[in-house]
This record gives sequence, C-alpha cells and structure tokens, in this order.
Amino acid sequence: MRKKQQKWFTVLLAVLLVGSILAGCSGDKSNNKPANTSNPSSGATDKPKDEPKKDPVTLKIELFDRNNTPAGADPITNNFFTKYIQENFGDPNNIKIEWVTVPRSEEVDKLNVLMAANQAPDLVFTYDTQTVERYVKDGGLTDLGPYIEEHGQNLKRVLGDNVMSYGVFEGKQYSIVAKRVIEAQVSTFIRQDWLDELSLPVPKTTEEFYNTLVEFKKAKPNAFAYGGQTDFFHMSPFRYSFWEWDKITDEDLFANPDWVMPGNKEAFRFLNKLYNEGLIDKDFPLGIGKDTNQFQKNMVNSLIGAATTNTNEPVYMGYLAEMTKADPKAKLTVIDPFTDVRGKTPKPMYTPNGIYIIVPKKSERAAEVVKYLDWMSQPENIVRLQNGTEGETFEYVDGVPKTLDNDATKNLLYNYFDYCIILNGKYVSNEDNLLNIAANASDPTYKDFTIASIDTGSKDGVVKPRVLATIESEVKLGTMLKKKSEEDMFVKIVTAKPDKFDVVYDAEVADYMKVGGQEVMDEKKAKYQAEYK
Amino acid sequence: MIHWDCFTLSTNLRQGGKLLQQTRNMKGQSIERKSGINFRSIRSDWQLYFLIFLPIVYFLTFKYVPMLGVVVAFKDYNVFKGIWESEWIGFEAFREIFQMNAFKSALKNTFVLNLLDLAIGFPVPIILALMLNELRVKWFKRSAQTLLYLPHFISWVVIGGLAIQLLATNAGSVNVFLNSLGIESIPFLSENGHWVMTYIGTGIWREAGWGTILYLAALTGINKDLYEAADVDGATRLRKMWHITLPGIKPTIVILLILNVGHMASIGFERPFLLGNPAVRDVSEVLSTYVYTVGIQSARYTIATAIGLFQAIVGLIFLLSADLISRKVNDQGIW
Amino acid sequence: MNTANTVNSKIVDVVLMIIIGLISLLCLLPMVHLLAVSFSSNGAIMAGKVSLLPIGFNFTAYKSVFMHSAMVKSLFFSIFLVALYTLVAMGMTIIAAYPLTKQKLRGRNFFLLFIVLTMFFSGGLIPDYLLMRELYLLDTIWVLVLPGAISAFYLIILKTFFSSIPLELEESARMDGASHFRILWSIILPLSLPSVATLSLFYAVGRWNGFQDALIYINSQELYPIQLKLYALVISGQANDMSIMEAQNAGAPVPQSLKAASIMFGTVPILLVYPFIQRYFISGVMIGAVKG
Repeated sequence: MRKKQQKWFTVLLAVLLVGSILAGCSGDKSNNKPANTSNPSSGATDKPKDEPKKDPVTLKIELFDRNNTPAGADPITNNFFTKYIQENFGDPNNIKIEWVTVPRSEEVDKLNVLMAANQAPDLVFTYDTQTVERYVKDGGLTDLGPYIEEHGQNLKRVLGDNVMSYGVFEGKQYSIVAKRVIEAQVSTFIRQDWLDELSLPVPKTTEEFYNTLVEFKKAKPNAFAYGGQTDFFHMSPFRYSFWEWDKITDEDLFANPDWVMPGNKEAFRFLNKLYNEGLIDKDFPLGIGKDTNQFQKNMVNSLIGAATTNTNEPVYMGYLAEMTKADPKAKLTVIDPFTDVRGKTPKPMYTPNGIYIIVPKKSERAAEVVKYLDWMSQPENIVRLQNGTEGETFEYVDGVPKTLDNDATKNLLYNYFDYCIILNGKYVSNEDNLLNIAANASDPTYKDFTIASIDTGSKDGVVKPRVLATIESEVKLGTMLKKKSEEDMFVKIVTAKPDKFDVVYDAEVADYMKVGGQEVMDEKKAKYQAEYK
Repeated sequence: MIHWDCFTLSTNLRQGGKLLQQTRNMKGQSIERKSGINFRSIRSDWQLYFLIFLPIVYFLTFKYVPMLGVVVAFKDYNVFKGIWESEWIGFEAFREIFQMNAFKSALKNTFVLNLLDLAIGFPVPIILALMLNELRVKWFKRSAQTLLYLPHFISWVVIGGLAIQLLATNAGSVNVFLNSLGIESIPFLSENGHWVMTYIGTGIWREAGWGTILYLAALTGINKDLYEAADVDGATRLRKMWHITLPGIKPTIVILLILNVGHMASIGFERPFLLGNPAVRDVSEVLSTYVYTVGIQSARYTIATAIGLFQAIVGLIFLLSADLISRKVNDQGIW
Repeated sequence: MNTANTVNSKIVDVVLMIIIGLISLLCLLPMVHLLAVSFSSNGAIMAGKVSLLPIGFNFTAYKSVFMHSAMVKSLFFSIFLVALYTLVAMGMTIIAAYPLTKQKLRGRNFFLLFIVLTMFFSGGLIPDYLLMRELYLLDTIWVLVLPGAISAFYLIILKTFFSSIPLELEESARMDGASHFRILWSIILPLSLPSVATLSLFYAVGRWNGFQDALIYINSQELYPIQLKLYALVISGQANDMSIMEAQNAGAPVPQSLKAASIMFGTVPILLVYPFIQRYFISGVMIGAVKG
C-alpha cells in the first residue's frame, strides 16, 4: 500500500510540476504587466503622422464578457469586430488596441477594484450613474471636454447636445454617454383571442381594463387576469395614470419621491384592490428582485390575460413564439388603457442616455479614446459595427440594413453592442425614428407587435427633469432607498388587507422619509432651485 | 527505520466508565509507557519549526498583510486616493451603523437563523452518519452515501429557483398538490415563521449529506475490537452506539461545534438572498445581504469593512468563549 | 436472547434502509430534474412540463456544450487546477497540523491564536487585489492556488484528527531514533488516510465550485475556471436593473436546456471524486497487520 502510494504520488507530482510550468507560461503571455499605463516612447498627444517607425501607442479598451460566445465563433478578443477596428482605426492612427475583458455579471465590482489598483483600462464604461458620480466626487476621472472639441465632431453630431449633456458632472464633461435609440420602457398587451371569445372590446380606459379583468377571471378562474409583471418598474404606467398631473410642477417631478406624489396612494389602493380580488398573481412577491421564469411559464401555458412587460420582451425573450406554438389561436394586441384625468397615458421613459463611457484620470490616452469614439460615429463604421459585412451578415432593404438569418450572423452579431458602444440599440436613421424601431425588430414574424409595443411605450412619455449638480445624499442612500421602495414597500402595500391599507401606506411612507427619503428630497429641491430659479 | 517489533498496539477498554489503557507489544507482553522528555525531543523541535515555517509565511503574506486594509473601516475611503491617503474618520462609520434600525434587525436575524441552524441542523449529519454506519448492506450504504451528498453541488441559484417553483404559496407544486387533497396552502416562502423553517430545512437538505463525510471519516478510526468486546458482553446496537461510536467521534463533534459557534456572527450570502423576498424581509435580511446593498452596491467600502470588522470581533469572542467552556467541560478544545 | 436480538436487528435494518432510502431519493430528485431539463425541448421547458423525465428528447444542448472548444478547454484546465491546488493545499495543511499537535512545542498556543485570527479578520477585496498585484500573481494560475492554500478551519480539524492517534505509536518510533519527518510520513499519514482524503475532497470541491476570485483576479480566457463560465451562463437573462437597461440589446436568451446541460457539465466531474476516495475510508487502519 505504501509503495503504491508513493509511486502514485511521484507520478502525480511530476505531472503537476510539468503542467504548472506550462500553465504558468501560457498565463504569462497575456499577463497584464502591473506597471504604469504610460508608454515611455510617446506622449499623451500623439499626433498620427506618416512618419517612419514611431512606436505604436497602446490603447486599452474594456470589453464585456458575457460568456455566451457560440460554439464555432471566434473569441471576443479576436474576431471580425476587433480586426475591423484595428485595421480601420488602430493602424492608420498608429495605435495598438488591447481588449481588457470584464465579466458582465460583476462589472461594477471589478471596475471598482481595477480603479482602486490603477489597473483600469483607458476606456471604461458602466451603466450605474451613481458609480460615475462617485468617481467624479473622488476625483478619479478625466475631463473629456477639451478632447471632444478637438477630436470629436462626428461624435457630437451623432449623439446630439441633449444626450451629451447627461455626461456633464459638476460642470465638466467627465463622461461620453451612449445614445439610447429606444426610449420606451414598458408596454401593455392583452390576449386578443380571449377578448374575441368573450365578445369584449379592446379596453381603452382604466375602468374598461378593470372590467375586462373581472370578466377574464370569471371565464378563466385558473388564469391570472393581469398576470404581470407585478413590480414597481412595470406598474409605472399604471401608477402615473393616477397622478394628478396638474398639481405637479417640474420641481416636484424632479425632487419628490413617487410615494408623495398626489394620486400615488390611489394608484396603490387600486393595485391593492386588484390583489385582494385575485386579479393579479398572488405569488408575485416571490419573484421580485429575481428571475423565476414563472411569468414566461404562465404566458406559454396561456394562463395570462393581460400583462405589462419591457417593450418587445415577448419577442426577444422568445416566449411569444413558444406561446403561439403551443396555442396557434393565441394572439396579443398591444393596448394603452391607463388614462389619466386629462385623457393622456403618461409613462416614464428612459432618459436618452445609455452607457457612461469614462476615462480614468491616471490614463494618458484620453485623446485616443475620443478619436476612437469619433471614428466609431462615422456612418459606415456604425453600419459595419452593428451589422457586420454586406452580403454575409446583412443586406440593404429599402436603404436600411437588415440582418440576415444565418449562422454567420449568429456567430458574429450576438454581442455587437459591446463594440459599438456609443449606441444603445440599432441606429439607422437620424431623422425617422420608426425606421430605427423597425431595425430593432429582432424577429420578422412579429414585426408588427414590436413596432406597436415600442411606439405605444413612447406615447405621452415623461422624462424627469435633470439637474447638473450631484445629489450627494442620493449617491450615499440611493441604492438602499430604491430597494426599500421597489421591493419591500411595494410588496407590503399591495398585499395589505383592504381595511388596513391606509394605515400601512402612511406608515411605510413615513418610514421611508425617515431613513433618508426626506434628506434626498430636501437636497434635490435645493439644488433644483439653485439651478433653475 | 521503524522496527515493527516495537510497534505497540493500544487498546481502550471501558470498564464501569473508567478508561483503562493497556499497551502490548507484538508479543503480547505489557510494557511500561515511557513518558517525559528526553534530550532527543528538545533537539527534534527544530524539525517541527521547519515544518511549520512555510505555513506561517503563508499566513503572514496572504492573511496578515492584507489585514492592514481593515483600517478602511476608520477612514472615508476614496478609491483614487488609496487606503493611506483617505481621510481618517475614527468610529464615525460604526456610529452610523449602530444607529440604523435596519442594521440591528439584520444582526438579530443573523443570530436567530444561525442559532436555529445550529440547534436543528448541527445534529442531523451526526445522526445520519450514525445511521449510515449501522447499515450492513454494503452496496446500499455506498450508494446512499453517494446520493446524499448530491445537493451540496447544486448552487443556491438553482435551488432558489426550484424552491419557488415547488413552494410558492398559490401556484407552487407542493401547495397545488395539498389543495387537491383539500388541505389549505402553506405559505412556505411568504410568511415569516414558515420562511424561517424553509430556510433551515433547505439548508439541512443541502448540507446534511455532505456533512456526514467528516463524521464517517472519524468513524473509521474507532477500534473494531471495542465492538467485539461489547458483543461478548451482550450489548445491544443502541448501547454500542452510545458507549463506543458516539464517544469515538466526540472529538470531531466538539471541534466542529466550537468552530460553528465561532462563526455565529457571520452568515452566507446566497441562501438568504435567493430564498428571501420582500414579503419576509423582516426575517430574511441578514448581515450579508445588508452589506451587499448598503456596502457593495452603493460601494460604501467603509461601511462594508466596518460591519465586517464588527462581525470578526464578535465571532472571535464567541469562539474563545466556546473553546473555554469546552475545555472546562470536555477537557478538549482548539488549544 | 440472541434470536430476539437478531430479529430486532433485522427490523432495525429495514427501517433504517427505508428512512435513508427516502432521504437519498429526496437528494437525488433535483439532479434528475436538471438532467431531464438538459435533454428537453425548449417549448416543453418554458411551459413547465418537464419534471423528472425529458420531454422532446434531444441532444442539442449537450452538442452546444461539447462542441464549444472554450468550454471543453476550460474543463480540462479546471481539472488540472483542482489537482494542483489540492496537492498544495493538503501538503501545506499537513505540515502545519502536525507540529501543532505537540503540546509542548514552544509557541504552540501563540501559533494557534495566530491562525485562528485569520479565520475572522480580513482586509477585504481591494487590499487583497493590491497584494496580488504586488506579488505579480495577477492573471496567473498561482493566484488561484496560493491565496487559498490553507484553510484555518480545515487545519484545526486535521490537527484534531492527528491528535487522536495514540501517542505510544509515536513515542516508540522516536525511541528508535525516528525524526519528526519520518514519523509524519510513515506513521501519522498512513493512519490518517480517511481524514486526509476527506479534507482533500473538501479542498478540491471548494476549488472546483469557487470562482469569485477568478472573477476579480483573472483576465485571460484560458485561465477561467469552468464554474465562472457557467455562472455567467446560468444567471444570464435574470431580471435586474442592468439587464433592464440593456433589454433591447440582450439578444437571444440562453435556453434553459443549455443552462441545465452546462450545470451538468460543470458538476459531474467533481461528483466522480467522492466514490473514488471512498476506498480510503477503511476502518481499523490502526490495527494494520498486527493483531495482539
């Protein structure tokens, strides 16, 4: 036993020793030498010249790794996009591009760590406003204003002044913000075939909607009349339709939390009614903050009469197709029934900004970053970076690029948006937004649904006003208040017993204000008045 | 070279509760146990220091050097200024934390859940291990052991999803089944008390089987002769278990108990996060989930570090106390 | 009296087998479910029809996984990583545990306190990262091996196991002039096979399942442990703030069957280790070939 043990052990040791040497070597090849990011042989304002043999400057760009590269596709650090960028931007400008991958799921954590250790790439991005605000406050970002003036005219044209303004913090352009093509957030739809079956008209007001739900429940007691998605974000059009808009000033809209808006309580009273009458899924609290696939399951099994989801979600998440496969009679109609007293259907919209692109202060490549983004904004580059190669992965239809449905496309375009970072969504026209919406219709079979969904989702849209100053208390308390508000309070209030509703609502709101809501509101009011009055 | 002749065999016999030790060499003759220190043992101490040298270096490098970063709890951490240049704020962070009701609630929930885990969940692997030990059908025992540890490998992300599918109050499979039998739905996940039980239960389901492995390893160290001697005395299986098996794994049980008590102030993140939901927030928000929201998502590293420091000190106090008590009662502890 | 005992025993045997059988089944079911999902068609999964048997049986998910060279490479890398790590970790733990069993070792109590403290106090993510950078460990395989090499928890457990070996065995060996190294290698280790095997398993499983460190310390795709790749896959499509903002960009969602197949892919290898070490759980090793 001992001899065998020893022999085993020695063999194992030998294998591991050899293996570790090999592994160590392969790791070293892509080892980020932890030295400073400056290249000793060139300065920060390297002008591209046709001079002989100047050492190329290295530009490090962050790249999200979603771990979803299809089998047979090229690795994300060496595919058509990276080659196209290197050949058409890097080489002519004497720049060598290095892609620093960051796992998508941990981007904020990893970004913080990289920034703290001075390991961050030159071009970094994040979706989180508060992260950017914190970096600005801590003095860690480069002011990109001067560089944009010098190298970024294309960029300015494509993004537009409004979008650019979202990148201004404390008076300086610390961030270049991507342009969000689709600003609609959510849309509501209903089972047309159920309406037909019960000879009901398409509901056009909140009251009609309620009556339809009651009829649905009577006819199909096992289904969920208004099956989702029951959470703070998706119930927003519903809530907004109860607000007394003539009493709400711009300052209120900016500074007040939703909870104290006039009419918000009535919105929740109605939701509470829906809950207690069994018109919405009573298990909804279990899915808040998580993805349980329960909603999709219910949709596919025809257990949902009406629902509000992200615009176009049934199409791009694939469950509309599955539902139709399971029940060929199933048909969805997009509706917009949540009307307020003025007859409008107010809905929150995304601010026109997408991802925040920033450059750490310690980086010496700010000029190169801006040049890169400016190059990216040129029309032919947008087309290539969003659609690939004509004839292989897309073709022009009515002057608009349309992606083909083949393997080459699947293997290339699954993450084009991680390269074409100045745009959030397919962008084909500066003038006609419907063309843009059409370009974003991922499934041609359901194009009509897609267009209706996005179009309706933008109707009577409301964008909250903006203030350029940073709201300090929000940076500190924002995430906590959001979670309390959208998860805990939402559930407690909607599931309260009807006779206790008022007490619960008032108590919860009072607590919210006490733990920070009041502080944030006061600061917002002050800063709004400072800016606009 | 070791001489097999001097290989002594130690036999523990229990007679009337007293431990008798006899030593015999190969030939069966009793020999005197030589105790005490001879000069060889002092000289050989250097070998022990040599052995432990590398581990000590490891702990110094990878544990104690970064530990200096705990000073972040006392500073207003600015990611760009770094740890040393950030402003000193003393106990400010701690004051802020202790004032927050949410923190106190999270602390209370942490203790409650850990205590219940200990009281209910700790004995389960022991009992399972004892039961497995009693199995005489070898293939059954082997297969059972292999199946029991499977849940440990399923991540909480998956378990959380399955739990919701099965235990949802209205549409969960279990409740649907109960309803069909005419039984009212049980709010496994949506009512405070039930949620706590579900939390403990899923924890046991996932870890009990895995936990038996250590005890089974300990069981192999029990001298078979003891069982034979007990058989001769006509002991029942229960008596054998009580007087031989349990005492045989007692050192393992005691050590694990002490270590678990020491970790009473800490709690995993995934289980409460993935099983919890807003309806039961009052009992499901624990220190780890609290730190996640307040500390990490808001990137308030000072707060996160301060809470971590607090947990560490509390945990250490618990560990030392548990160890002290154990040494008094069992004459056994970590030290 | 003996017959009554035997009958009783048989009843107890059966009852035990039933209880343990039921519990084992309970433990097995979720795996069976995942297995079924991995072989099922997407429509059936979305409709929630799949419980323990596949519906719409197909190999698509597994084909995607196995044909994905990155996944397969990552699998082999992970196996290698785990082997290397377990060797290093177990080796270090053993050489630390043995001296600590010697009550009279000077400084022993101090060493123990020194080690116990590390179980509780840590500086956090950023100091750790800075240290890895200073040691040039970033983006190498060693950053996945060295920082977690010794678990104080396991160290204390191993020390306890070592202490249960009768002193006489050691003392007689030392009377014959054996060095501590020799004693450790020839007496302590052979007699501790069950505990060493168990803790090796714990280390191995810990390394196999863990990916949080790779998330932060590793950039190169070749050094991604398999669980890291799986984690991203499994949580993709989860609703959270980020994904809502990206909703239009999300692209085709990952099918459930692929998620389940990937989970199987990343779990089955490590499951095979335990039966392998079960043979080290030999009872009565103490006796050896000697019988009084």
